Amino acid sequence: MISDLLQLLKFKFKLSYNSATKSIKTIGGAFQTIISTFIFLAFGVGVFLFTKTALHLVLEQLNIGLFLLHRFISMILFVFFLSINAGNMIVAFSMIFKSREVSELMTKPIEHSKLFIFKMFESIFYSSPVFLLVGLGVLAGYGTYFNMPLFFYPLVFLFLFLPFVFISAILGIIELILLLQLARKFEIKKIATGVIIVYLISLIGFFQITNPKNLVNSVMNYYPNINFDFHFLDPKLLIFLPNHWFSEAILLFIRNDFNLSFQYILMINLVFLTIFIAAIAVGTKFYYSSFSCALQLKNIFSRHDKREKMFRNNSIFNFTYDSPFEKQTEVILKKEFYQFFRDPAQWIHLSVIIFLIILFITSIAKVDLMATLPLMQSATYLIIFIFNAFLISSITLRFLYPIISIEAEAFWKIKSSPLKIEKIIKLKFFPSFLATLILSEVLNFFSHLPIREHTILFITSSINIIFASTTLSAINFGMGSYFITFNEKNPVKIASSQGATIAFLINLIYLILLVIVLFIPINEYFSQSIVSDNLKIKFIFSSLILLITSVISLIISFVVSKKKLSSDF
Amino acid sequence: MLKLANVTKKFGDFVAVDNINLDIKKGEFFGFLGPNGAGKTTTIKMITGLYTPTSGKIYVGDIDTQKFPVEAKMRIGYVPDEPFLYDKLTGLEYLYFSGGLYKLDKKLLHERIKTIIDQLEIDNWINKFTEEYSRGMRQRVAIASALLHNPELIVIDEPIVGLDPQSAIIVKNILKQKSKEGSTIFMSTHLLSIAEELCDRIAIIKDGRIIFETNSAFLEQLKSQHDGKFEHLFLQITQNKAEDISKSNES
Repeated sequence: MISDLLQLLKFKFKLSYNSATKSIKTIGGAFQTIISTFIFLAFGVGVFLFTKTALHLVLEQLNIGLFLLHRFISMILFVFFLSINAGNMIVAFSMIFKSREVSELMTKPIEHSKLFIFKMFESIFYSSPVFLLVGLGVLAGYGTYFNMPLFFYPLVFLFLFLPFVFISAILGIIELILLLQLARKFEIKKIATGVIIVYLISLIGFFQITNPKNLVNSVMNYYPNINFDFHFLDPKLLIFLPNHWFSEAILLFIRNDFNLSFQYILMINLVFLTIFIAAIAVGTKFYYSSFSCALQLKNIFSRHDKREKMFRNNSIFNFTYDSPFEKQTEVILKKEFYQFFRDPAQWIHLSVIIFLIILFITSIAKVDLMATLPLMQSATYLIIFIFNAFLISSITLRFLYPIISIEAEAFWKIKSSPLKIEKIIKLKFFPSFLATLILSEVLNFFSHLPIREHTILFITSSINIIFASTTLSAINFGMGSYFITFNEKNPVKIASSQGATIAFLINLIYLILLVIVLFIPINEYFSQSIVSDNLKIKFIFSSLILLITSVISLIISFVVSKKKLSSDF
Repeated sequence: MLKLANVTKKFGDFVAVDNINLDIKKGEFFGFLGPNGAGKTTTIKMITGLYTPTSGKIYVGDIDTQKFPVEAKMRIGYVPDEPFLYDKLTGLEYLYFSGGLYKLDKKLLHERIKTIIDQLEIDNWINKFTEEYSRGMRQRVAIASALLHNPELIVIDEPIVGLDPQSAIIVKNILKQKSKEGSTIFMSTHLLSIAEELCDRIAIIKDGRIIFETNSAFLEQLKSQHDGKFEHLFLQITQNKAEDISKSNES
């Protein structure tokens, strides 16, 4: 068994090695590798510095205490857990069940269980490189802030962080196999809806049970003794969750309670081993039947879709309908529309994102921004604004980054047709950009509902969000063109490739720029009782910086795209 | 109709097409032959705008394809060797999509699609998604899409490879018909029998260079000197004896 697995791993390693060495053989490739490495390193250092600064702010300026800090860490880890879990379900579907490589390997004399283990690891590592980088940066920042001993870092990374990520990712794969088994008996759409509902209930339920607001109030009742052990405030459910074990293990480590800390570390590793063994058992028993089911799903999606029939019969979407658009524009738009809504990988992801946005919009209405100190008000306001931008960044990375590459080998038709490259770029970029813009304005509107009396904030953010979404769309579209690949047509895989990871890091750097540019006017706004002319100028100046950034990003993005699309196909 | 003047294509240090010259008249059925890796597809990709020549000029009619790519492409109908289509479109939608790219009027497009569907006998599965098609089906839809705008120049790369006999006959017939109607056809193939059967003139490319060029009448004469078989002649030409044959031909 091990030798077969090693053979597969060796083959995979050789492929990666060949593609890596091939890319650095040319000057352009070597330059690209150096830039990529630099961005990765810069991002890692950025996360490290950000973590240290954030810890300094919450522990020394806001003085929230160790207990509350680690409860917040637990909450972040819970969201992190669900994200990896859901993300890996989607990545695993395309990598373990729907990839060309799997179809090919299925015809070879390899046991299904070995193939499953091999692909399971591949999907986990494929879906989590950014999480890994973020995890390392945060760990370094956290460890140096608390002056932890050297062995703390490998201990936490190897025996807490990795098992935690693996539990979440492997659970995602087990869930996927079970769902595919269910799909043999029930309609896939009902199952997909059920899964989304379960995830939403988990998320809402967790925050209802943990209730951050009540927790903060309860701890603050003991002020200034906020570093006490407040475990009696914890809901009972928490002790069953890996995120709680993680945060408890590091909290107890800081408090020098090593015995109890190691118990949590042991527990997380035991659970990881159990889940790993369970995954192998489930995979051995159900992998092939789930693979067959995944193959059949393609036909279900393509043939028996009521929504699909509606699109075909509805004359607006039909190719035979003569629209007011110019002919080339019309057919490209219709093709894009069908390509998007007929691909389950696209619309399922879109549905999940829309659910998350609705959840965000409904939660944001409860934020009480006015009840706190100016610094807290500025921080809360900025966090909400940045979260809006982060959502837009995720959406554009997922949908705009792969928008040209998903043409795949069929691109010969457009490239050899009498269509200007500039027109292809515009038709690819602007419809998605328009949708992003509308979405970002909706997000902005709802996030300002609780503070609607602050007109200047609403107006400036409505303008700034246009610039932010323009920049983020341009970055992701341009990076997608720069790292264009016509060999892969799976949008999920394209959006989680190395190029996409670099694009994501650039997105995060832009988000940091947003904080830097917007912090001064917003903080002054919350500190002052009147809106002075000086403050107005600062607001205008910050918007101007964002405008210039967006124009530059757009120009660079279009120039890069034109160059890449003009090159040999 | 199609002119290649000193066209070269390099990929790094590798010279894929080396300073080739061709002049193909209007209405001519031109066969472009050569062994695998000779430079046939690279040449075709330069004609259709998928590759940019490293040096040299290509003219479609009197249009320089690099200076006026849109105008040149408007006159070309291209069928690649691997006809990848959009998986999530039906064959019919793909044809409407193709017609739209060439700015065809909807009414005219309806008519042409009807006709071409009949000619290529693709009506049984034209409403299925192309992801369900066999290679032959995809090839026929790709050919249909290339002919919709009635191009003056048809560029077709390995049209028969991988097709079943029925599909092969249909494709050959439609190419013959288009040739009769006055379209210029530039066909790359390594199936010698197809070139013999269809082409008015052939050229053989090897290692990026055109090593042999003749018309069908001369080809018959040359064949008679080689057991009457084109295969033998082809083998001799591609085994670096092209000059000898040309000399004997001239004499």
